[in-house]
Amino acid sequence: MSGNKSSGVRYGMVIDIDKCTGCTACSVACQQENNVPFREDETNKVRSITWMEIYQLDNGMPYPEYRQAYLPRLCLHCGASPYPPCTFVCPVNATHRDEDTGLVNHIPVRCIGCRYCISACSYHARYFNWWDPKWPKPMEEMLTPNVSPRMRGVVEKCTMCVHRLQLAKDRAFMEGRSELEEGEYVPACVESCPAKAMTFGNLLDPDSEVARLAKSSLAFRLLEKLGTEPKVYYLSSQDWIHKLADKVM
Amino acid sequence: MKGKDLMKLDRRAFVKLIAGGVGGTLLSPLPWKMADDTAIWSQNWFWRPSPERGGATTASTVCQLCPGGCGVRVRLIEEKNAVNIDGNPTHPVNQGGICPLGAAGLQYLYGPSRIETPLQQTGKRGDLETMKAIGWDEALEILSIKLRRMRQKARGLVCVSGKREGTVPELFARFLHAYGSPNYMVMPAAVDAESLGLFVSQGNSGAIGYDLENAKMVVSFGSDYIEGWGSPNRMMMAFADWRSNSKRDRTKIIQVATRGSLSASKADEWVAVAPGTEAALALGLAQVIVSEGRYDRTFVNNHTYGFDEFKRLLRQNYTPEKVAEITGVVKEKIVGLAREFAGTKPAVALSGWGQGRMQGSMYDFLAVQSLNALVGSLHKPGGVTRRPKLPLAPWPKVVLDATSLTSENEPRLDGSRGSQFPLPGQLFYNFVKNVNEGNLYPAEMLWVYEANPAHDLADVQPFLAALNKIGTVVSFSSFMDETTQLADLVLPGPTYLERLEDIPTPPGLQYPVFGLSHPILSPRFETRHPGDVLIALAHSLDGSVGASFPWSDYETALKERVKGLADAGRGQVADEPGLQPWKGGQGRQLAPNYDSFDDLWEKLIEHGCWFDTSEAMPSWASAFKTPSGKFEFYSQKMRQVGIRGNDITYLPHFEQVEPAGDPRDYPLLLMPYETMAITNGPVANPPFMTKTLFDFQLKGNDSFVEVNPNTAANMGLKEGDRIALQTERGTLKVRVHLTEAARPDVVFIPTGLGHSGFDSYIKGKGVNANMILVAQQDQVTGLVTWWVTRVKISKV
Amino acid sequence: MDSALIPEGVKRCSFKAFSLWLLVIFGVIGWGVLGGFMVLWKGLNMTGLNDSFGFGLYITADLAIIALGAGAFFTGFLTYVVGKKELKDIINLAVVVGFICYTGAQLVLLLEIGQPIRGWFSFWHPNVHSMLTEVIFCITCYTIVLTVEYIPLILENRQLDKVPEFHYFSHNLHEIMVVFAATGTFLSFFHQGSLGGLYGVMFARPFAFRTGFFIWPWTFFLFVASAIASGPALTILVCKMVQGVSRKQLVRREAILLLAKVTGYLLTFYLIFKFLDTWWWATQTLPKMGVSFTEVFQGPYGMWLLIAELGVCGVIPATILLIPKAREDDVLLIVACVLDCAGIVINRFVFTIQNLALPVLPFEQVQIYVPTWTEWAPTVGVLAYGALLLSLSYRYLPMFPRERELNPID
Repeated sequence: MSGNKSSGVRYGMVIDIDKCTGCTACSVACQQENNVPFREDETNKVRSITWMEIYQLDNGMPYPEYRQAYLPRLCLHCGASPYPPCTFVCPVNATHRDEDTGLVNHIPVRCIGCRYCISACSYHARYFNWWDPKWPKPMEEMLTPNVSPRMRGVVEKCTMCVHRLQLAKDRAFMEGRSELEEGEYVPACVESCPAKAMTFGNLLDPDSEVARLAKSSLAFRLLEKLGTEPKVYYLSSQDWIHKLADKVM
Repeated sequence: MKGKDLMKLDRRAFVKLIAGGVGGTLLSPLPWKMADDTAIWSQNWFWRPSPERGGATTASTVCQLCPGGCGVRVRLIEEKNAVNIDGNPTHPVNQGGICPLGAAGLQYLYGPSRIETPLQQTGKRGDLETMKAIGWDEALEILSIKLRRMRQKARGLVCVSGKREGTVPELFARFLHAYGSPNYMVMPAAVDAESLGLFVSQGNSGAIGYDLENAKMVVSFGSDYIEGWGSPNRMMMAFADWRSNSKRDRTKIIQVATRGSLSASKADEWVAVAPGTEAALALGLAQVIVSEGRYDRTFVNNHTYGFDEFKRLLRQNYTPEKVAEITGVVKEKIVGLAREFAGTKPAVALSGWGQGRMQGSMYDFLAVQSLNALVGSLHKPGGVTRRPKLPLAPWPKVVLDATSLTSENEPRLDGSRGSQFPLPGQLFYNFVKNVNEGNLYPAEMLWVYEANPAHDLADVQPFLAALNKIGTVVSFSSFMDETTQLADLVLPGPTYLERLEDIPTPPGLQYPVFGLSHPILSPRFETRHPGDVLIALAHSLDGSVGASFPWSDYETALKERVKGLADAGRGQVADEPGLQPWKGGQGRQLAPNYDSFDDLWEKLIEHGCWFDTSEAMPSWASAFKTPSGKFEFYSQKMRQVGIRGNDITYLPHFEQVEPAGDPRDYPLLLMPYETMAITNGPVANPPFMTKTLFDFQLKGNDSFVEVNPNTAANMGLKEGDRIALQTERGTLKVRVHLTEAARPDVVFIPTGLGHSGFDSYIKGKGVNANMILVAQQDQVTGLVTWWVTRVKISKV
Repeated sequence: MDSALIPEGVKRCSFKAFSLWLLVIFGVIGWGVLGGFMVLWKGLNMTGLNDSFGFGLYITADLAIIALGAGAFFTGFLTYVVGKKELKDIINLAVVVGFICYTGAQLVLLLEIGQPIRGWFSFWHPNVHSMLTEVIFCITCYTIVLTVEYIPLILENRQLDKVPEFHYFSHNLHEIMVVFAATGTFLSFFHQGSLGGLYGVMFARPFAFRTGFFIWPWTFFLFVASAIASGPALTILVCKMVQGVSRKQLVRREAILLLAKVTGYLLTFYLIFKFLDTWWWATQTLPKMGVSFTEVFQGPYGMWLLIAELGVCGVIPATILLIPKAREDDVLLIVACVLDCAGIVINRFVFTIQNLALPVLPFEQVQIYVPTWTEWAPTVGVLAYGALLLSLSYRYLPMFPRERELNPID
């Protein structure tokens, strides 16, 4: 993973599937934090914007050997070198990976809505604004000023709450620090998780919890064979979950 | 020739003109500046809302969307727009975590279905068009006049509260007491069975506390321990804790349940039982433990009563063979599980079906508790204990006048403590039945607080019928929920983020917590705190009702109670992250981190809660208030209150509830199920949460039932087929989702959907399972179960 | 009525018949415009597109149209650069078809992007790594080239030609046409290629991803090859169609047969590499990505598509076109050209739709795409636009230089 090592920072996440209780708090917290729009009917899942999408997995066994698990899927902020699948296809530079942090960002006001990035992403982590986002009048008051609401016809996706990184950096600067401490910058989903199943931090910092967990024997990534090098890792002790992470011949 | 010259000239001129023109324009800043401006202009989208900018502050308070009692932090912009809710890391119950409901809390505060002023129904009940907005003075006047007029029939005032504990429910109960009505009721829940169970076996009133964080083995009898049972965030945290431990001392989780839920899937072992037979399995384990002598002899010999009778009953009715027949679990599994449970210390068994919204049978609770008793897990670390009481100061005694004195001995409309159901239960269903049958006396007026029985009550149709027989319905709701739609008078309260209120210890906790919510922003509408409403109302009435409310407002009344905490001189305000009161056991003195009541109050407002670990688990001398002074397998308390029956009546046993409906007409079984993604409380699912539902749970406005693929194949059903689901109560149209999570021949329907109230983001989504579930009453306690109903499926 | 505009010495149908025909065309165009307007006004939610199918009928149609429009540059290349003079018979037609294809594609492209008013951002904020940037640049430039190539033809209209400035201008342009032909070839090569690159570089999409040469995935070259193997086929078809409708011979047989022969060789050349590519992809690329060859054919997007694309619409037309006896048979020639074009349309379809329909995450299901009328209407509308331009050009411009010679009016 070249390119983003110079800063010594590469943010990543580990999600422990065994601990995940499928409560969906991460997804709700994300929607609230990022002004993700909603409509009266959001049941057409291929047109519903959920940066943090939750999948139901099962082991395919009959009752009562059946087991299910939930897998929260956000943008995996692929570390593939030199580019993630999505950024280098964008014709207008509306999305790119910040090589200082490894975060893949997206600029909706730059986006022309060609959806090439959506097509290029194998994780369905990118979403298109099929409609003008509209909030019931009183709910406009609960929109956070930290993230601009998007407009119709543009793509959006998980930013790992990069605005929180900016706020944390500002705070550190005010306090005369140049480096952030572990846990100072955490995305909303991680913060919300009641089962503490999600860990976030700098994958390049060998002392960080996230780096330790990412090296665990229980760790896996989605579709590793594609070479996308996701920076979101999953943990599970269940073989059947590991098997669902990658297609096997 | 001339033509050619002209041509040449023209060509040169042409090229020059084009090149010069293009070059000149490109060299000037004009096109670039214009293009850039156009680029910036085209990035705007003027009708997109622009969130107001400004300084961000954070306020801590306590969530009240469910009884879980979690600490939350609200981010405010310019101290007026709430833009985010997350968990409060200093709150010991949720440690910074938050459930989806809590995270979506702002969608209630800013919900379009908020009620902005008091409303009076001027036309037919349920007609929203004739609901007239009125002022508070007028609203209170209307109610005050009505209450004065019906004072002679004071007993006809009924109040149902969805909130069970805290000063506001206490004020409601107090109002009814002072006014002269015995009919303060709460919405039914598993706590009802727990309270009665504790009462008959341990002689205590109050609630149960599980020291789950310290348990090494947890057997859950139908409790969806990570899907909303108990205090949801606390349970999820405990679960994560069990999973974090290294392999060697990892807590083992066994889920005994019919459906392959997440709780079942995430357990180390899922024991799939026939619908409604969890308690039989508990007794089966008890029999193995007793017959193999694996029980805690010291405890059983010294601190229990009626062990021999219990033993005899177990031997007779609950041998592994018999239990295997009832539950469908193989004998070897029962024996193995029993041995493991008895051999692991500390081990604890949980009861309370699903999220704990169903009362369930007291005997089921007793069956599970007897298992805890047998292995010596009562009042022990890692076991089950009594939830410590909060040292709150009492209010002055209610002042009774002639009217309220005479009604002190009136029977309750729910028949609790009456001749049929002598135990002190909360029997809301029996109230509904009595109203429908015209028993006892008429219900003149119904108050509904923090509850939405018109949607949430399982088997809701009898309640809807009963409403027609109730003179006046008053709702204190903040939202246009189904019950409020049917109200005659609406006195809207502020939402939890706009009001002061105490949140006492959440259900199932082993240590006391006192949470305090406070207005983190000024109320958005003309709402009024129900506590203030009650005080004003009391003051407006004749007799001594007003005298029972010697406070100017709710805040004064609340402070009077909280003074007790300050005076107790123990416990701390939780003001630092990572507090784990369960670590190191109970009975550890905590030096108060506040020096006066005012200081305590201020800190409570700032941080949200007080907690304590000072109180040790009860000693054997104080643990049991039974006639024998012991844990009673054989309940003498039941005899004392006048319950008649044979020996089995007084012992934990399993009663097979025959599901309602003739099996010939209704060949399948219908079981409701609950999930964290759909709230079941008085508030409906917010848009954020509805968005997270899978399209095999909700698609368009259709909700799905889970059916086993084999069952479906037998009936010729495919994924997504539309079916009619018919029980004795009625028919619902749903679609089919095939999953092996469903037991063959059982149809699973999610609860919490199918609202007809609230706003366009909420109503009309799916069907309300409560419409066709049939609740069944236990004839000894009056409690109800509604987990299994016979059902017929037909394709539409 | 409009006889003054009709080139001298040729016969055209009555103005009444022509007006009726235009009416039909305008009806279809109106429907297309309505569809396009709905999409622009209400947004792309009017289409059958979704987050699984970021690309759909619009893109499929665009790719197909542009590939088939390759007849213009390739015929131009053969005529001016290689110097196959007999193709001058058909070059004007090829240019008009090319112009129709490219402008039509751009019209559809305008609908396809979510923010049409930002469509020009790829010039203002270009990402040079994006194949799409390359596509947009080349297509725009090539459209300009095509326009330049089209202009002299327009100016040769009987009335316009009377204006001396127009006459000289058009004459001048004619003289430097070889420059434009070469430029067009260069640009076309790159954008046809980058359209292939568009898919080939999707390394997270096992169906589309191809290894490649230097910075270009093999699809880059395959798309170029397939475009030049099908573009002339469309030119032949259109020519046959115009001849059929006008019941006249407009182009000398040699020109068409030469084009057919060249198409046959090109198609064979393309197919050889396409088969090699498919074999490498099936046995090397896919397994490395954790996908088996049979797995990429799911639901309605089955193996039949592959057989149709490479067998029925690949090997068969190539065989016909390679055998002189066969291609000299008019019916067989038309069948071969239709199959050739269909094969390329299927190719663009599978790269767009089948590619996106396949679940990549193992726990997802195959998705099915159904276009709505708002997608069909502009697509069909573009065809009608083509018919309009072709009809006008045929009626009022000297599109076929040999027409007078082959159809003398007594």
